[in-house]
Amino acid sequence: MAAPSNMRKLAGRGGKEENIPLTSMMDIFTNMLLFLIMSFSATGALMTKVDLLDLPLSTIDTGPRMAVAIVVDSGRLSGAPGIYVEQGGERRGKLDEGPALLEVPTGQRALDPNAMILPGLQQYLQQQADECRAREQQLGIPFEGEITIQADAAVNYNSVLKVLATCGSAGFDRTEFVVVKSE
Amino acid sequence: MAFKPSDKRKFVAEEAELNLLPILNMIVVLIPLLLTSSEFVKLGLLETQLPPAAAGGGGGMAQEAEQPLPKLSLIVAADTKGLAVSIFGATEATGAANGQYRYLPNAADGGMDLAALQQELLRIRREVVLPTANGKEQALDAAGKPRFNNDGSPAMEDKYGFEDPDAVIISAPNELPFDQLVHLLDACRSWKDPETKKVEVLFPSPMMGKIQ
Repeated sequence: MAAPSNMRKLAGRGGKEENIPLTSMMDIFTNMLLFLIMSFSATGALMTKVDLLDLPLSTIDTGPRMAVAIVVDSGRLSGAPGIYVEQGGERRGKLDEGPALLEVPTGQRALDPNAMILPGLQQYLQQQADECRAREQQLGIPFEGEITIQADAAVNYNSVLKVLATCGSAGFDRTEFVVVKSE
Repeated sequence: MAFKPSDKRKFVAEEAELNLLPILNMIVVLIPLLLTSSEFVKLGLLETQLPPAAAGGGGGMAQEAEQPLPKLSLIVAADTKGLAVSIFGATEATGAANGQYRYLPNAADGGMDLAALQQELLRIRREVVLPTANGKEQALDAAGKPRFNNDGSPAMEDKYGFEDPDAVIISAPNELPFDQLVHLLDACRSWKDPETKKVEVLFPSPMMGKIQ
């Protein structure tokens, strides 16, 4: 014959069925929920900082927007300098290698406007511009030539100019650098 | 005669327990959702433009007036020793005496003297740009399209006697790190009065180029 369970024994002797005390857990959950709802922001879905990239601090107060996005990496933290496509806070395809980005045109080459063009980035942006223009015609979504750039703090001015010149040549003349708000 | 005892005396209310399970389920779903979408690092966008000659088209400053307005042509050129600030295309030879050119040597720590730069830009804004204010006009965005307020009314802004009252052309050495460039752009955009904490707009539309 099977022995009666402990619970039955307790009940038989007038013992009470134990309940897990949920009150304290509910208090914590309620506080957490209120805090998270108060600080809720949808910008995380629009733009996410790419790993191993040191974005500069700025006092700007403009919020993020959805646009074509690229990463300009000096390689200081990642060890892989170059230009990448950015999607969902991750580097996707590599568009240009580090030497093309870092090279400073000198001598006769400094006078050549094409020396400031990054070929991989230009090809990608022209493709994106074509797609945006097609969307504009089919769906009426205006193409405003907007591009967001996540550039590492150690990227030099020459590289920034190259990226800007390439963006401009492909029809993206509204360049916006992603920065970390300092206030 | 016996009376029947009151029903209230016999009635013992059962202790009712709240069913917390649906609330717990909802909270357990909501908390991870909100945690994943939380923004712990606040990101912003720093808008820049190419100088008009190099722009791919579509952008640039709109020019509505029949007679072209004069250009302020504010240039902040950084080099390894300091910052040169000039307006109306002045050089050291032509503008040093009349306040159209000023060279600001680096600060004692070797970095750019951004405080001095802000004072110089503030002077240019107050003495050169603001006195030319002439009524209001509809504001344009960076793409040259009219801007509107949230209620649909046209966004108005002060009209000045220059074609480029908000623009500043930045030039810097090739090796200048991007974070220092951002600090330079921040210094050109606005100035915060340390006493009143009031923010005064300086030149919020930077264009980056290289002056050979």
